[in-house]
Amino acid sequence: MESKKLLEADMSTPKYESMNGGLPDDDDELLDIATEIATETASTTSAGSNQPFLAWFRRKVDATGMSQDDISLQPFLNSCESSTNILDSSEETMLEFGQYDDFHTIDWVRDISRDRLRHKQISRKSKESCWDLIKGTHDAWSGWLCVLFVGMAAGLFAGIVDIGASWMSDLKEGICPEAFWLNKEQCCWGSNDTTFDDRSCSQWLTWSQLFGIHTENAGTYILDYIIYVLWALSFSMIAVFLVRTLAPYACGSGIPEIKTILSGFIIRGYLGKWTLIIKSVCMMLAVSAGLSLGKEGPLVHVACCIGNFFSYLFPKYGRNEAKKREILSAASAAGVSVAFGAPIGGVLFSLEEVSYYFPLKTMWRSFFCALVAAFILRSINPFGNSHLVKFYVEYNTPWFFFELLPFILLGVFGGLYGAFFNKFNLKWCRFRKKTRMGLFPIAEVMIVTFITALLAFPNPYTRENTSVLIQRLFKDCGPVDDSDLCDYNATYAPNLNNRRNPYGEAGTGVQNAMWQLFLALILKGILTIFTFGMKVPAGLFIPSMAVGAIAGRLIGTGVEQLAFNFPDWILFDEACAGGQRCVTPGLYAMVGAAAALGGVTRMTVSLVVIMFELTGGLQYIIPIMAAVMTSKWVGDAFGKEGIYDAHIHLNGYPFLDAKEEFKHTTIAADIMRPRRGDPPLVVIEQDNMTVEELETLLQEEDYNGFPVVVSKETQLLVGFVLRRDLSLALDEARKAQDGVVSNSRVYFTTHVPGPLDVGPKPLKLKKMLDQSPFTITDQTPMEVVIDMFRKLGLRQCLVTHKGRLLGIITKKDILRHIATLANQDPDSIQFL
Amino acid sequence: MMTRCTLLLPVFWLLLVLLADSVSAEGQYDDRRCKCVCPPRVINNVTRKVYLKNNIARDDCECGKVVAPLPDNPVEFCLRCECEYESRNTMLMKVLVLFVLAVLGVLVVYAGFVMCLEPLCAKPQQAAFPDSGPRHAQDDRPRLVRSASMLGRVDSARQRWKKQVEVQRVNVYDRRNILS
Repeated sequence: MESKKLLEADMSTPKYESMNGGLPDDDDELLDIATEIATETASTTSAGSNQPFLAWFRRKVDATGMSQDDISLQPFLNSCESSTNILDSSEETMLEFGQYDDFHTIDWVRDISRDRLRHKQISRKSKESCWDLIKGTHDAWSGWLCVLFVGMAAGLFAGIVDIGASWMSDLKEGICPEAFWLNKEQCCWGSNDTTFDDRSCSQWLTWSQLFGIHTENAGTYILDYIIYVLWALSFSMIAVFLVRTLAPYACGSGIPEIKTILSGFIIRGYLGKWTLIIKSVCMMLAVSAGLSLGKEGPLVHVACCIGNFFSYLFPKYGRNEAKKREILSAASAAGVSVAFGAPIGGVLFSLEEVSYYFPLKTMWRSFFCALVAAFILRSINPFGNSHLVKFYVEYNTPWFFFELLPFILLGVFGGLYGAFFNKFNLKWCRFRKKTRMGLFPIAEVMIVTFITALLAFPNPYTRENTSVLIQRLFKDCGPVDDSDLCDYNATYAPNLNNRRNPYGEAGTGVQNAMWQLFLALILKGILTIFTFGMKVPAGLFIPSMAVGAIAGRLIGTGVEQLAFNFPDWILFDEACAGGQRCVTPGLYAMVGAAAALGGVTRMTVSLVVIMFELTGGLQYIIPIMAAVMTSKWVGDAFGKEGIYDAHIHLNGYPFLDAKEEFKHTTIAADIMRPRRGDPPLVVIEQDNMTVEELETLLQEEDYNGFPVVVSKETQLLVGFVLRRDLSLALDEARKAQDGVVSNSRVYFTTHVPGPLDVGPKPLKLKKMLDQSPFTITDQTPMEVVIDMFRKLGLRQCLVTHKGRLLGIITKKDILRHIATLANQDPDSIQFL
Repeated sequence: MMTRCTLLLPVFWLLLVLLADSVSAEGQYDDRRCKCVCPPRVINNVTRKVYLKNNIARDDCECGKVVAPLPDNPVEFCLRCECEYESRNTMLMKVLVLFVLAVLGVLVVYAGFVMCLEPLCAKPQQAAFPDSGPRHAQDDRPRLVRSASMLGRVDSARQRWKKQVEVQRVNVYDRRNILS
């Protein structure tokens, strides 16, 4: 690794043309903008590549009697600190439409100032005519309009996915022959012969019944077993095949990548239309295959794809990567909103977990987007229960103080499970990544599906869809429930004032259910480790919640029995005196689910809000908070990062975490390049290089940008020029502007020697020079530097000493530095 | 664009279904029900707690009109019942499930086409353009023939898309540098 390299491009990464094309079509419009800017700032910009612009400008200059050599502004501009100068310099880069290469980091500062400029332009123009006024108004509300569309589409997609997935899941067991499009629950919905809630009805036929065998014996069990496994295999085969053939980026959960993208990274095609379609379809297939995964994480990805799609309808967002991320933040909120039916939880999730840059404006938009999405999903009513999720529950039983103890215990369990899961899942993913095993993704998916289906069928709690399981566990035993879980030796005294839930000694059904649940806990806990990270769309909210819910229900039932058998204990004295029912096992399941999910993802606030939006009971906030907090503490004690951050590190994405603090005392000079003993920084002199020299420079070096200095001797900084802009401009100049030859001089200055000078025609490139590069001195503490990179979203920063250019610090340098200080392999950070 | 073409089919299918369905109506699978949960009672040797009545107005959702047969002491019995009115939309479910099936079918067929048939069809073409070589890494911009015709544009968009998928495949499956 040559350390003199700055902003090195990962040349091994193939770069393809952006999906949405390179340069904009409406050059004219941009030109208008640029010309107007030129008049206003009276800067004597000359356009190297734009002949009409140049001609227009010459006329203008002639008319106003302004000399091209008027450089009165120049000293001011040069001396200005970057912050005041952003606008001026970027006004000029506006001409070159900023598109980024694949796997590159965006420059937030540049993009935001470009947008500010565009906005200024529109608001000025809107005073001119009525049409412009309409255009201006449209521009002003386009953000809201865009998130409205995103929310509507996200709700629609979620509805389709919910209905499709629940239908396909039940297909493994049987079919509703008279109306094949209904799932089991809906098939039996109107059938009056259902005596109990979860028995099947005469309309619903299992596969063996469909083949005409109506007796239940070992033979039908085996037949159903085989058909179950075959369906599972075929679903997952279609899923993995579609993902591989049509959209490989559709695999996985998507949240680590979304986080990275929102922090300012470009992954072309990750939010594309094909990814959207394939991910939505394969999500259903993967859930239906009975794999230990959920559709909630992928729904966030799908919502972001929708956000990306709609942002292209509004140039304000589609053409500005930084602005686009505002829409994506809102979209991810909508994703969680529809996944859990928790609009506020979605907004908080976007804020806490996903988003990087989250101004208040974005929060309101996320709020609105989540609202619209939830509204649409509610009107689709996918589960026929008037709620947005399968496992919505409603309790109104109170909880008692002594229960805080088991809740905290559940928190400890959640934290331990989270640490365990993260550790082993990461190990397994690393193994998949580094060894030959990763070369057989299809075989891997098929094997895991086969094992899952084989082990899941015998146990009624793993056979059914995981959301159904969670629903069952969350639900409190009501008077009608007849499942094993509610089989208490209860003495009913069905009188008017005492329509209580069953409460009593656990019957054989409960005892059976307990060990079946225990087996399910082990199975789910272990299978999820191998499932998360496979090459199918796979989220881990649902499996983590299932694990936690099972544990919670187990503990809850345990506490309940304890309270029933020893109602006079000091602990139970107050609440359970006189054999009152004082423990709600369903609530324990819910707390357990929150704890396990908190342990795996290390979310706190958003998780609690999501959970209480699920229950609709504000009184359970404290138990859930206690459990989630404990789970985070315990989890953090055993492993610092949540699963998403861990996967970001595993993949080496350039993600500068805003949560971690930097505690070391290094200074900028320690990490800037070039290091001591390295060749000096590659720089461009502002008026002393020829076209040919620059072309060779571009060929020899693969940096993404070059500092421009007054001269190599003085190293006085003038600005920064991006490789992409430079090569584009040189190409253009070669093609268009006659007179530019290999030994034409290139000027980054306002002052260009007149035509009296001998030699070929000069090439003027001042307009692509960023005159406001961020600069720091070499003694700046790293803490400050990192804060600048985080908060301003910088891509690079130049280091000066006594006003002379000394070196450069890029985001990659910083990430490597952090990795080194944390005793990790600095080369694990790829890209950039 | 290819996407639009693939999307058109399901939409067409959807329209057909919608048309077909506005005529027929399902008697068995109604969209409204009243569900009453009452104390257990033995009727014909079966313990019964739940009583359903379909296609009932919201106002009629009460024990006396739903529970049949009513016991001897209807007033006392009904006081202990809890009735709930629920509604759903089977029509929408039907449309969405058929839509999902249609999309799935189209995608599988298309993927099969991309996977199996196309390499066969494309072979003679490959020979005609010797410079197309192995389509990997550095072949940055696909040599697009900007033909004015619709077909040509669709084809070039598809070629571009195929390149992209190829890159994604290399990144995810071969180099395994993203999406662990």
